[in-house]
Formats: sequence, C-alpha cells, structure tokens
Amino acid sequence: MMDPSSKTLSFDSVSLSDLQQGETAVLSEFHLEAHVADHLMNLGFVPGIEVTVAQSGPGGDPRVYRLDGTAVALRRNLAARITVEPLPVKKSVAAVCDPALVLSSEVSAD
Amino acid sequence: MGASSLASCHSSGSEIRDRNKLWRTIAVIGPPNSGKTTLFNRLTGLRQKVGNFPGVTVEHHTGYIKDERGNDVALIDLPGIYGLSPRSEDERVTISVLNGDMPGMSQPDAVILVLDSTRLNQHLVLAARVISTGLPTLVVLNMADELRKQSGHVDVLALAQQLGTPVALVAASTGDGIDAVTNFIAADHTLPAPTSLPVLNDARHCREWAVRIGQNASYRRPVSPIWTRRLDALFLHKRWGPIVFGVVIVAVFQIIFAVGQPLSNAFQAVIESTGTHLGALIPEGIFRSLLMNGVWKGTGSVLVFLPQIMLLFLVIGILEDSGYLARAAVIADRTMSRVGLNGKCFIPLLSAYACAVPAIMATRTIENKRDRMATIMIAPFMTCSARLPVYTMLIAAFLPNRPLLGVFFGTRAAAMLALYVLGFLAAVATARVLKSSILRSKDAPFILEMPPYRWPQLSGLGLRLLDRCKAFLFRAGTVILGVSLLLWALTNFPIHNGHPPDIQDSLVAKAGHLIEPAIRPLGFDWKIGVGLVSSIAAREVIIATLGTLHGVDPQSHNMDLQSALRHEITPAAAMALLVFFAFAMQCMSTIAIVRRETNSWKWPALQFFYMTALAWTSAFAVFHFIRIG
Repeated sequence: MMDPSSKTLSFDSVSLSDLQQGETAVLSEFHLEAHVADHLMNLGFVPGIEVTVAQSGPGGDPRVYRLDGTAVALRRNLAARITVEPLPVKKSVAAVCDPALVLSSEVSAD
Repeated sequence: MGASSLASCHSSGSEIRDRNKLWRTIAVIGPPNSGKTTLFNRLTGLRQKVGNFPGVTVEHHTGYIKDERGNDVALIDLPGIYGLSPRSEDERVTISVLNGDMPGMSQPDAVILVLDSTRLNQHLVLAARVISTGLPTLVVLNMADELRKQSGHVDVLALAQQLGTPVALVAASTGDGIDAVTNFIAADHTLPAPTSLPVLNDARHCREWAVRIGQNASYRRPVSPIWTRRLDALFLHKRWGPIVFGVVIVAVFQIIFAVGQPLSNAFQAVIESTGTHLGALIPEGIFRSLLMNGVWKGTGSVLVFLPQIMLLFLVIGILEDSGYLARAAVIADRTMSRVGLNGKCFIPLLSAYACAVPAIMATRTIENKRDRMATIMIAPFMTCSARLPVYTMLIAAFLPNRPLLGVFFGTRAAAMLALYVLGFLAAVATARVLKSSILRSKDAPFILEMPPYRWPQLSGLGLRLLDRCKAFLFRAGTVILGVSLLLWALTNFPIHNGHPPDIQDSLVAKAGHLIEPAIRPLGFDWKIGVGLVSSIAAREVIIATLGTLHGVDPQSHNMDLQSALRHEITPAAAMALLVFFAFAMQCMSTIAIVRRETNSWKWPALQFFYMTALAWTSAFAVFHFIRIG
C-alpha cells in the first residue's frame, strides 16, 4: 500500500509484533512494499479487520495470526511494519463463543 | 505446494497442445488449499495427463472427459492463485492462461473457480477478479460438508444472482453436489452478468464488497473447529511443538525402514523367483545370458526399491495434505534463517529425502529467486531414496550389526543415520556459503498461510502415488534398462571363438582401467569405477552394474553381491564409497530438472562439479584416515 520510506512508524503507534498471544487488534496501516502489502491483502489482511495473535514457532518467530477464518504465519520483522489499534481482550465473551481460545490462553500461560 | 507438482517426468506437452486446439477447454482454478485438485481428480479420475506449457517449467494436469452430451472436453488443473497479480512462476502461468497470453494455447472456453466455502469472505475477492475477465464462470463453493458440520450457511441462489454466474455448493471429497459441476461442463456457457463489482485495485474495497455480497447471500462463516486450534496449540506449542516436529521427522524415516524394508525384501524375493522360473524356460546360450544377466538382473535390482520409494512419497503426501507441513515450516523457520533460508524452503527440502526431482519442482512456491536457487542447489545433498539401496547394501556388506541402544538401534542404523546427517550438514554448509556470497539477498518477507487441518483424501494421494510410480517404472524401463543392456554388451564383447571373453579382456574392463587412475587414490578398483560412471544415469544403477560385473566374473559369480564386494575392496574403501555417494550428484534426472528450472546450464554444471569435487575430496580423506587410524 504505502511506500516504506515515505512514512516512518511514530512512537506511539502499536505494531502487530507488539501484541501478546491471545490479544486482538484492528489492522490499520501497512508500511510495506506494494507487492508485499498486496499479497497480505489477498490473504485477508485488510485495514479495519480484526486480527487475533495465535501461536508461534520456537522463540516467538514466526507467529501465526488469525483473521476471519484464515490463519497466516508472519515473521516478526514483517509484523513490526503493520500498525494496529489494540482491542481489549474480552475473555468472558471469548470463552462463551470459542472454547479453543481458552485452551490456547491456558497453554500460553505455562 | 509440492503436492500438485509431484508429477512424472515423462510429460507429453505437444500431444496435449494438439488436443487442446480441437477440444473445448475448461480451466479449473482457485486459491491454494481450496480443494481444487480434489474436485479435478473427482471429475477426471485416471483420465489425466501431466504436461508442461512451452517455455515454462510449471506442470499442469489435463483431464480428457466426455460431457453429458457426449462432447469432448479438456479440463486443465492450473496452479493455485491468491489474486491476479503474479508473485511466483506458478501464479504467472495460471494468470497468462486465463488471459489467453499463453503461447500455443487459446484462452479457455470457461472457468471453474473453486473457492473454500468456509473462507468465503477471503475467497470471494478472487471471484470478483476472475468474473471481471468476462469468461463464462462456474463458482464452486467447495468443502460444503465442513460448512454444514460447523454450522455455517450460504444461500447459493442469492449468491449466484449477485455474481451473475452459476454457483454450486459442493463437497469434492465426498462427491456431494458434483452434478451441478458436470451440468455446467455440458451446458452452453453464458457470459457472467454480475450486479456489482468492486474497484479491483483497491484491496479494502474488494474485501468490503466480498463481505457485503456474502451478507446478502446470508453467509454465515462456520465456527472454526475446536480441534484445529487444539492441534495448533500442540504443534506450535513453545516446548511441545519442536518435540512433536522431531518425533514426526524420526517417525517418517522409521516407517521407511521398519515397514519399507520388509516390503522391499518380499518384492525382491518375488522378482528373483520369477527370474529363476523364467530363466529355466529359455535354452542356455547368449540369448538367455542377455535376458537373465542383462535385462532381469539389472532392472530387477533397481525395481526392488519401488515399495520403499512409494512409501516415502505416501508419508510426505499425508503430512502435506493434513496441513502439518505448513506448521513444520513455522517450526523450522528460525533454524533455516540461520543459514540464510526460510521456513518455506523446508517443505521442498523434506521431499528431497524422497527424490530431488519433485523437490526442485516444488521450489517454485518460494517467491524469492535467490532463496529458490539456494534451495535448488542444496536439495541434491538430502539423502534421496536412490541413495538408500547403495547405503543399505554397502552397510550390510561391511558393517556387522551390533546393538547400540536396545534391539531397535544398532550399528547399521547408526551408520545410516550418520550418512543422513552428513548429507544434511553438507546442505547447510553449502546454503550458508551460497547465501553469504553469490546468492546474498535481503530478507524476503515470510508469509505462509496455515491451511486448516484436514484428513488426507485417499484418492488424491493414490493418484499422486500412481504418477510417481509411473515415473519410476519409466526410468527403470528406459535409462536403467539401457544402462544394463549396454553393460551386458560391454562385458560380453569382443567374442572369442563364439564365447564371451574373460571379464579381464572385455570392453568394460578396458574402459574401467581407463578411469582407474582417477579413483585409485580412493581405494576403488576398475569395477567400482564402471559402477560410478554408470551411476551418473541414476545412483541406484551402481548396484545393477556391480551385480552384472560380478555375475559374469568366474571368480565371484557364485557369490552374492555382498560377499563379492568384500573380496573386492577394503572396508576403508567401502566407507569412502559411502561418503562419495553422500555428496556426489550422480543423477541425470536431477541435472536435467535443474537445467529446466534454472533455465541455464551454468547452475547444473556448477552444482555437478562442486558436488563431485566435494565427494572426491571427502572420500579421499575418509579412505586415508581409516587406513591409518
């Protein structure tokens, strides 16, 4: 979408890589080369969509992100160039809708 | 991924092109993991051929069927695409076929677009792009069984009305709803008339359009099944993930040996007894010698490995289809990044343990050109199934089996494991050197979709195995048979007084003595030398060669090959030979595929000389180290 050089990340913005496992956020901007952003959008990474942070490879990289029925693994250096607006974790609601989410947060706790 | 490219080497592109001119053609396209190939297999069954488009290396399957009105139709299964802007060579092919830009092939008459009904919000974006090409289109919403089971819903008629194309809700794995697809194939096609299309170059707008279209068709996305997340919680767990990964890799090889070896042995017994019975029917003489020593023994010694090779392809196919390989790539990514590669390279490299040829074809999914080259360059170091017979035979001949860790892990298994590790280390070291020199590149973005876990479909696996099986038999029937016959002739000429010469005076001995100086420092004699030269055709050929050479040698023709070898070379030379095979690029098919995939002779030549030099030096070091030590 945006030229990586044209815009630098401001200090107060939160990037996808800042989120912890189990957190949910709304995608806002891609600071990536056009063809990379394009591919991400084909996979469902569109500004305005909710993303949940899921499991990762050893050492937290790459990490799987879930959005609208899809799961995509991204390396940390890429996720760091995607800004998001974090949402509060609604644990009680999540537990009602999706027992698996509870399981994954249990797993991350140990 | 590699799945659809695990195809045979014996393509007949021109025949397919000729038929495509006369037949009505329908392209089957869709995003990866939408069950496109499952649908294609269900529609065409065994009536499919593998081919290549001219000038590109991407393979595609074409199925020739008769539609319900008796007309001939060619269905083409094209590589999966996410959008219409090509990133990899795979996608470029699909898109140029769709646009009618593919040389030698006219634009398809219609398109069957396969989407995953459980991920419509994402996949409908592709529908917008395909419909906008104006080709008659059938939108297939696949995985209907999963949609229903997980309480999802979609109104097919409402969707069809908005898209202006027919829409079919199908479960390709069970065949449910497939009638709608066969009807479409037979019908007169009408051009799509969508009520609205998004602005295609605005991704956000496309997505909003897809969601709106879905909502209008009362689309309810299914709840993702609990077990998909549970499995991810295990397979990508901080501690358990890597452990499971290790267990899976060990299990793959354990299956190949524990199950495959007895199968191969049984198969060998069948081949040998059939040979003995057939031999008894033929009168003694040169004709019998040609058939039994040349044809049967030569090709039989290689055919024996068919069960093991099939098993390896089956196991890797199951891992791939179940969705685990994508998780394994995430687990492996960090380690791979240390040598400058990424987790995506892991998938082709794992299949290189079966065979480097499909592995090198599977590298097409790696978008970064330099990463792809590096993966191609190191793939032949992975211990492929053709090295297996050589390793098994030499280890059995020269290494007594003593238990090391209980009954399951003895000295022979340890030696085998060491050879696998050796090949792997050579690959890693080579990747490091390449990625820090001629193939240096900045980090490519790592983006990998995690497909949902699914039960592998037996029919799809079966068709792919059949492809591999055909390719292997084709090789046994051409290259290996040819080498066996040539060798038989060389050992039986020049004829003295109507009798074949002593092996020492035969043509093959003369040729062998010619190359002996080059391999003498490694402890090899001329027979091994002939074996090495013939094994450039394919690694396992060395066994057929040595079998033939010892079979006609009066000193050893009563011994089995293992005892004959023990008489011929020292244990130190045998170890050197093992190391030589771990590193050398003794495979014409691999050379040919690297030439095809890199589109130059430079890379295969570099690879061949590098690997041979490494093999020679290491074998030399091993031979002298063992002799002194």
